Amino acid sequence: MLISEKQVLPENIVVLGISDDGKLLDIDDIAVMKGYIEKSDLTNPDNFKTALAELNKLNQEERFAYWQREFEKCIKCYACRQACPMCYCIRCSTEVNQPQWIPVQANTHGNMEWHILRAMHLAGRCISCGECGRACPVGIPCHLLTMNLTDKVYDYFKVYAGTSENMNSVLSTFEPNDKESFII
Amino acid sequence: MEKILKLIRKDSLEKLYIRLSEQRKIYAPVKTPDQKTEYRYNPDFADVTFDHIRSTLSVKNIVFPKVENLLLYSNSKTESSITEIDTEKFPQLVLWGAHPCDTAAFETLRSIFCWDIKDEFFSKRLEKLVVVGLSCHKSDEYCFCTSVGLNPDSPKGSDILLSRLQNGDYQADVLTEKGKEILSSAPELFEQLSGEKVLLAEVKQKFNHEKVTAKLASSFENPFWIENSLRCIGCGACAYVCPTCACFDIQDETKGKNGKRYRSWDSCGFGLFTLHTSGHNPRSVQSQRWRQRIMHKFSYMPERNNSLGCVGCGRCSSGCPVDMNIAEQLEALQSI
Repeated sequence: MLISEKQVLPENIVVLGISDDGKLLDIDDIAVMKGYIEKSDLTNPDNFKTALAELNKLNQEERFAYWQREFEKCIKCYACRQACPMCYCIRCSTEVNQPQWIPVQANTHGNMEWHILRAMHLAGRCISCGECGRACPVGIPCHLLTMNLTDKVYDYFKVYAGTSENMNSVLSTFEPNDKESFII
Repeated sequence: MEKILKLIRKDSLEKLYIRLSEQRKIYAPVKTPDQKTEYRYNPDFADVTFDHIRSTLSVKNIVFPKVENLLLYSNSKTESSITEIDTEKFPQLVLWGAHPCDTAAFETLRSIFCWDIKDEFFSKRLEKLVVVGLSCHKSDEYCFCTSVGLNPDSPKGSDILLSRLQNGDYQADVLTEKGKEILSSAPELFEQLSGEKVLLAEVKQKFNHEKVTAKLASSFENPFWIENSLRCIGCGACAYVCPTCACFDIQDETKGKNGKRYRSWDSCGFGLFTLHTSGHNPRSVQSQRWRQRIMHKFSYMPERNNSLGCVGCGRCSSGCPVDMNIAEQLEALQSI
């Protein structure tokens, strides 16, 4: 994903891979890496699937209430952002104050804006590592937001993040054959 | 005043809790469904925990809220008006069941907020606060209060300090005038001590803070800072869970004609914290920010505020996403 977004040059990368069963992977170059990714299961990891399924059983109102409760805890330490391998902006929009996109204060409203903004910036880019939720010192399961979007993006566009060095992020590109069924 | 030692029977605790909550808003620790501890306002006594080691966030929120309005304003075409915050209206509060590290932190915060100019908001909140502390009978590998001049039953910052006795009753050390008022408002709940032993946690000393302070005086350029902060990801978790970190940001937020000026927690771990308008950043890399955090707490504060900026609660280490352990680092620093 970082190669496709022109953040790293493939020739500058050395991958020290570890397989799911703990073996060192021999990955010489991007072609081998691509082959490995093609063989891998790119859906969300099982433990997260269960949590997502539980959350998606709730109706919209209940889900909103759930997230409001979770975001109340947020202290805006930005550990989620810092731990994310896909967050690399030199200046995050939270650090821009002309205009002020989201409030600096860690109140419920401002926190919700931050987490929605983060989730939307990662829609279709999230590689489902779960680091954001693991890093959160107050235990907000913010990884479930981006992982849910991974599922949604796959439903609509049939693509997973990081599967090609030439792919474009689905939400920042337009294709003539894009479905428009979800645009109101 | 000289402390008064009393006994509170296990069954009387609830009565004391209810008595206090009739007079004041009460802030007490409860266990969350995911087995963490958090402080809440006015929880039922049945939900209050007496067995927690540390809450996820410290209790500094009670005197230094994560967001606090400083003034309100409104603008029209012809005039502007300002509404001051009436600090007298801050609620009377009881903090219940906070451990000695957290209560000692109020004194540390006072040394910052009242260093030169007395901060009105902080002072008023502290003035209206009564603290019923709770000694620690449990600790874990992150605790290091004994390395920073405290211990599991330090009285600092408490008005009454409760300590669990072997038979489940509590010893109550009545330490201040505020504590004495509680005692005289419910004298029937305080009995004569029975001679039972107090249960206290053992917390191993990990470093000598005086040695650390002395070492820091000549360690500004030490490569130690770079080596030990390579994995720091630059979030603000350590500062925000810390009971003594007091840095804040001031912002104006306007909506239409009305607005508010508020302060909210800030962290020296952020790159933006010291970024100048010119583009120059005196702490341009993470190792300089980590050094600042340690220097501030263990060198600048002892020198300027006559207090240590750390109470050994261990939250910065237990909450760190990349497992940077402050006690381990200071132990290493002291012997290089």
